[in-house]
Amino acid sequence: MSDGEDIRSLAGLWNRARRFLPGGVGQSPGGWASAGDGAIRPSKTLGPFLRELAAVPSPVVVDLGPVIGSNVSFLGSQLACKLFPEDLYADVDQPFSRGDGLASVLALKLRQDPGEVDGILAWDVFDYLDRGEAAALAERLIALLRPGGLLMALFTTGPRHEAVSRRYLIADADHLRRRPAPGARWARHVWPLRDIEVLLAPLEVRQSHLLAHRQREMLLRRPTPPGKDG
Amino acid sequence: MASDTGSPVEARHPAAASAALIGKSVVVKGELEGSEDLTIEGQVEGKIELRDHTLTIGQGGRIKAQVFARAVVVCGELVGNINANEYVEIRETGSVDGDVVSPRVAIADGAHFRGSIDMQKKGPVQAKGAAIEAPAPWKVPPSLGA
Repeated sequence: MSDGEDIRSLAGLWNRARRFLPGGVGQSPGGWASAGDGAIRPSKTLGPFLRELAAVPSPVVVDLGPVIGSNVSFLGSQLACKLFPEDLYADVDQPFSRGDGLASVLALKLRQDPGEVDGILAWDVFDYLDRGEAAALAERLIALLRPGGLLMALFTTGPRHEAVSRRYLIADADHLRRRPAPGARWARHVWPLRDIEVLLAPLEVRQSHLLAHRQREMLLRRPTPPGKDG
Repeated sequence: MASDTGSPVEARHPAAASAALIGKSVVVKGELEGSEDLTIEGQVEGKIELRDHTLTIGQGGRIKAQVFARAVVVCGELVGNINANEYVEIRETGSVDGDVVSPRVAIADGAHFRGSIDMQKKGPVQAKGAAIEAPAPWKVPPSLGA
C-alpha cells in the first residue's frame, strides 16, 4: 500500500500521526492528543459497541451525527451494516424559531420501524437538548431498538459554553476525533449519571466510563425479555 | 454519444474519456440501458441500467432516476435510489437524495447525502466475537484518478 493510499483513511492518518506523539495518546494531559483539525481521544465504548454488532448479521445502525464519509466507510467495512445517518445536530443547531422545536424534527426523522434497529450512535446530542427535548428523543430511540440493541452516548460532566459544537469522526475502533463545527446551540447541559439512567430507562447500563476530559461514555442495552437471550 | 477530446468533462473525470456521454444540453426522459460506461452532464429522468459498467454523473448532471450499475460516481445531483454491485462514490460537489445499496460507499467532505446506506455484503457473515480490524482504506479506482 502506498503512503498516498494509506493517508486516505482516518485510521491510516491517525497511525501516522501517532508515531510523532511523545509517549502516545495516554501520556498527553487529559488523554488528549492534538492532530490536524481536531483532537483525538481514546474511546472505551466504541470498541465494545462494534464487537457486539459484528456478531449480528447485517445489523441496522442509526447514526445521529452528520454524514461523515470516513465514518460511513468504517462502519461499512467493519459491520457490513444498513446505516441510517440522521443528522440531528443540524436540527439541534437551528434556533427552533419556526415552531415546536425538536418535536417537529422527530416527526420527520427516525422513521425506522419500532424494534428494527440493532445499534444507535447518539454521540453527545443529549448535551444540547433541554430535559423535555431529551426525554422525547430518548423515548423515540428506545422504541427503535430491538431487544438486545445497543445505544452509545457521550455526556459532558462539566458546564461548558463553547463557540463550537462537536462532531465525532471514528479514527479507529478505540479512538474518536472531535471536529469543531459551528452551532447555534452551543451551551451544553450537564447530565448527572442518575439523570441519565432515568432519561434512558428502561435501557440497562452495560458500560459507563468517566474519562479524563470530563466526558462520560456510556453503552446501554435494551433488555431482552426473560427467556430470550439476545 | 462520443465526447470531444479535451472537453471539460474529460478534464474532471479521466474515466469519462472512454465513456459514452450525455451532454449538458441533453434531456432524457424514460429508461436508459447500456453495456458501456456512461457519463451524464445533462438531465435524466426515469431509470438507468448499466449493470456491469460505471455511471458517472458529472458536475452538471441532474438526475431523477433509479440507478442500477456496477459502480456509480456522483459529482452532480441525483434524486433517486442507487443500487451498485461494487461501489458508490459521492464526491465533494455531489448530492444524493435517496437510498444507496452497495458494499462500498465513499462520501467526500462537503458532499450532500440524505437517505440510508445498505452496505451488506453477500457472502459469509463475520464470526461472533470477530476481532475489529482497522478499516480498509478507501481506494479510488485508478481509472478515476485521485
